[in-house]
Amino acid sequence: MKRKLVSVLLTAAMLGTMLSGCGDEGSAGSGNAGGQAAGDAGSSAGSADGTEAGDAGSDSSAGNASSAGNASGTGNASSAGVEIDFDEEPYEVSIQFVGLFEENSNVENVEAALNEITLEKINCTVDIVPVFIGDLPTTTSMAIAGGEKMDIVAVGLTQAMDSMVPDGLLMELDDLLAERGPAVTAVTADVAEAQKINGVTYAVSGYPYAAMGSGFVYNKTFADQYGIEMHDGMTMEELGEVGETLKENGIYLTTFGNSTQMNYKFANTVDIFGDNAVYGALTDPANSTTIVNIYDSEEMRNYYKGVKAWADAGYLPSDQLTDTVGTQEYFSQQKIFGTYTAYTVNQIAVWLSPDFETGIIQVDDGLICTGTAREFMLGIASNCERPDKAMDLINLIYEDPEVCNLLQYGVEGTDYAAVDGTENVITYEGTDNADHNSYYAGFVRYGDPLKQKVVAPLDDNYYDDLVEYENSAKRSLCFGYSFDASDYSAEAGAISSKLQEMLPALNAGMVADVDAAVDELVAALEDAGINDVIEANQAQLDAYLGK
Amino acid sequence: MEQKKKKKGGSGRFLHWLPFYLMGLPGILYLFINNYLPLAGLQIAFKNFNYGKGMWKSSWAGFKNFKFLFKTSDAFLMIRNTLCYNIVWILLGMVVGVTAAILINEVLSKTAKKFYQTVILLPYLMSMVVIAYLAYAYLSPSSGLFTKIIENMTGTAPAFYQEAKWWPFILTFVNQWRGIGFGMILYLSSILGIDPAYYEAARLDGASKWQQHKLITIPLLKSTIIMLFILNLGQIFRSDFGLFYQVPMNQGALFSVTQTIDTYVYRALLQLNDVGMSSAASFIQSVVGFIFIVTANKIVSKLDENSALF
Repeated sequence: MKRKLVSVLLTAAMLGTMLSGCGDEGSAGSGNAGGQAAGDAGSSAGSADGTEAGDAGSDSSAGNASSAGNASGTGNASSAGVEIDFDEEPYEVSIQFVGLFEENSNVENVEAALNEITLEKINCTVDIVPVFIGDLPTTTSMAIAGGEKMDIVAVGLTQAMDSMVPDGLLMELDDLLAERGPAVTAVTADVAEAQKINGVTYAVSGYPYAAMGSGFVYNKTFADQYGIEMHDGMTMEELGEVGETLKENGIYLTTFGNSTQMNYKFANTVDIFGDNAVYGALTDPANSTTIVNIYDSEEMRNYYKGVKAWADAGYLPSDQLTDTVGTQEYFSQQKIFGTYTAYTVNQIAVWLSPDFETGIIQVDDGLICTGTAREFMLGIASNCERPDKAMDLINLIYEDPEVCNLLQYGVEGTDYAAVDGTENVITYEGTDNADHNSYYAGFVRYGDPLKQKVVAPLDDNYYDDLVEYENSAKRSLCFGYSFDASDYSAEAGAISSKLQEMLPALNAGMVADVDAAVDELVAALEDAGINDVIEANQAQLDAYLGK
Repeated sequence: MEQKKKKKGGSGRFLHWLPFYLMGLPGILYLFINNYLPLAGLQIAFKNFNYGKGMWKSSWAGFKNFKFLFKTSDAFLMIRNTLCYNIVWILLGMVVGVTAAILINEVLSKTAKKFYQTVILLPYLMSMVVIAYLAYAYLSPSSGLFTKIIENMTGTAPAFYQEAKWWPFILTFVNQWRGIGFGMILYLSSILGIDPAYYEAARLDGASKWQQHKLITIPLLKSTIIMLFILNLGQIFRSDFGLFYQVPMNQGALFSVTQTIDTYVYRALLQLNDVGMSSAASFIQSVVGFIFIVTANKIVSKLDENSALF
């Protein structure tokens, strides 16, 4: 009786929510009670996606010079001249594999395929450890604190090198690299500085082509339908005109949601220190090394005024701030035309949809900076028992296209299929992995991008485009530098909290007066000590550049 | 007791109680492992915690980890919010809980009693995320039930998620609505334990319902009320994170009335991920809670020794 009653009541309560939730425009409301945990994870993952992700590519024909070392000829050495002891019991190297909620049902087969190669070449086996990106920092730090077995860790994204090093989670790699990592050193030479903190290397980049600009990704099907012309370098005013056309057709230009990010960075290329520039930023990183409070800049004010103009004109959803639908969902549901996003050669891959064509324009030039070079890295855990074996595997990943593609994409035929008529293009369509549940590493990059395969609709030109974009991009003057904020964590916490309070309304253009709101924000940040932090940051940067 | 002790002496007494100690051993072990061993971790609040070196070998940091709590004007705000909400809710919860318990106890039909009790308890079993969306269904700017009703009556729709003035009331309502069922159970069980003979006697003397409760129920509930009160005071520096974070939909515009110590710690450390700083915050909360419990107990024992907890 009681149980029945409870179920009747629960049903009634749920019905009540649904009915009242669907009352008006049926926009956000109901249904989405899936849990904040999932939502949080989604958003952090989303931002990761927004900055990079996608699917890197390879070019075996670009043949990297790494494997050219002198084999000692005894058979007890790998192709790169590193001494390998084949007499010992093979050591099992664990390696983190970061994704969302995928099942990764094929991991064991991938391990078996990898082991065939690794046993022969470096006398070790591989243990792939899937980790959910939302749990990554906790999983790693708890495992290391608890002394659990941990070898190769994914560094970057939610688990940034700057915070892992002071926490004592990473091992110093310089000696290991010199002895056993010739292929790694060769591939990552251009970003070597970014792999260091205080002159010591702690992780190696999985995406050494670090150039990243700002872009606007859009629904090309809509653009064609309504005669909208999109071109590189579009200003906010020009996008506003697009918004007017779209509004007449009942489509929003974009949405920002309840965002606590510094969205400005997606529309303008800047070099920021710390998440959301809590330690300041360089607004013209290719020409000036003066660190400023970016929230107090004229550019930022103009950007927020632009967003407010869009909001006032009705180009943005009116209930953005309480909306729980993410930008990516809005985009794939074709309720918005597009969104600002990071711009790279493969960025478009993140935004593809089976329902419509996607386009992307670049709105600000590419920049090579420390932050982007550090987004996808591999490091060795400080409690690793056999750092030499871990480094052997890392080196093999950079050296051997077969190993890096197995780790990145799994087994051909099961996890992906080659696209006919191409050299290195693959697709998940038509395989067990179409829903990404067989083997899918969304948030980690293994090895040399020029040796990795690439996922359609990118094509074999990708490799040339990647190199060309890298060569055309400017390099931040403080490339390689990172701020040691260990004495300023109290300030960082206070600043971060203030940003979370005040950024969402500005981001959504839902403030009465932009200047007043920015003044208030700047005053609050100064109260929290941002000027002291910037001063210390500038002093460290000057010292770094002066050496 | 005194006499027994003199007769049997120390060892005899120990032997007598030994089986009981053995019976209590698993519980004592559990308590020790779960509640006392982790106390060693309190030192993390005073250290530059380094995972590689571990807790004992990390270097000392003095009070550095505590600094972030007092770094901004938010410090006053969050302490004020945490304390004020808790004081109001503890008192209100007491009144509402006792009232509900008495009313339920007056229901004669057994089925009806069970029904009401279940209905009142139901919200307590719901996740805060679900409650947040229930609230959203009523308060949403575009489709909320209340928003629409008020708009139809007055012509203007209140922007609940943008105006801080509503939230002390909304949060109080949600908190009581959710907590009343659980608070009530303890009072109800105490009421059921009261000897019906008291009420019979009172009725024979012609006491009204009101007089019966005023003169019998409340005085006999006193020790339960005081016990719960003192225990609640131990939580006075803590707050229900879900209630303050989820229910207001994490809206920046509402921080002046929804920022509590727990939400501040979450927001400040979201990106820093600093174990030392979060331990520091928790340390302060525990110390303040401890001081409150001891003080309250002291005051109670001065006023009425039998009601004091220890």
